[in-house]
Amino acid sequence: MVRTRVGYSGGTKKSPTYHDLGDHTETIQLDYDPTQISYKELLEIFWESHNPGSRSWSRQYMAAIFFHNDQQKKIALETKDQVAARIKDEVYTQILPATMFYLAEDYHQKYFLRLEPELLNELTAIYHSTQDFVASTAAARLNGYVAGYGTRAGIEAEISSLGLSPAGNKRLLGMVSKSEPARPTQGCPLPR
Amino acid sequence: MAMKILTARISFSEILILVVTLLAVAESGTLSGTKEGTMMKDVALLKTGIPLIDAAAPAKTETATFALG
Repeated sequence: MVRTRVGYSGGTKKSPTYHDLGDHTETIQLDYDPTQISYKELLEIFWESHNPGSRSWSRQYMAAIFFHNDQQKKIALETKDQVAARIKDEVYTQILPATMFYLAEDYHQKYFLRLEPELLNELTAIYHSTQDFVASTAAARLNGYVAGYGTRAGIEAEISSLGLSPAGNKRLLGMVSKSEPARPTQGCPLPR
Repeated sequence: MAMKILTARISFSEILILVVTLLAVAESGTLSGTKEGTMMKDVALLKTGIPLIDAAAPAKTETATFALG
């Protein structure tokens, strides 16, 4: 995963905000290296990360795949059919064309990393602008690690490339157990 | 004139040895230079503070957008 960002998409309202979302949906946008992971593999993770048989009661929190081209649309529809066959029920997850993506407010970006000021400060000392910080692969990786994703072996393999100080490295390693880390139990980011 | 004298004094086998030696030195120098160059680049990046993983980010990426409900 090269970059991650959260925002609002799928609606018609111009310049939505968290408190004035209009008809948009909360979304996550990823830039990935197709030589490292395929769109189909991303979709497998996506389908495992939500309950497709659960109806969304608001457009803000609906589950959806926003496809960026015909190939993505084809794969999305194929996997939706496979999921429907597996759960033997209706799939409520929407397959929609990607439209304008509005970046969410700063405090939503790299949410889990923001819960670790010691690590956050090291990255923001390098990237003074929010735009650069959000676009940082290191920030995306750290956000994932802090949230409990990844493995200790994976972290150890790339920790020297994350731009942290020796103290930061120690802090990060201290946060992960010797075994596979657990998934996070925290809920969605709350607005300030 | 000096070149002529030099050529006359060096045999074919000596030239061959010289070429092989020069190639070996050149290769060794190149490899060493590459490693050194990479290290110097890494050090330069570390000085700017840009994480190496960001400096090495692929130029060509694809985008995916999801909503998880």
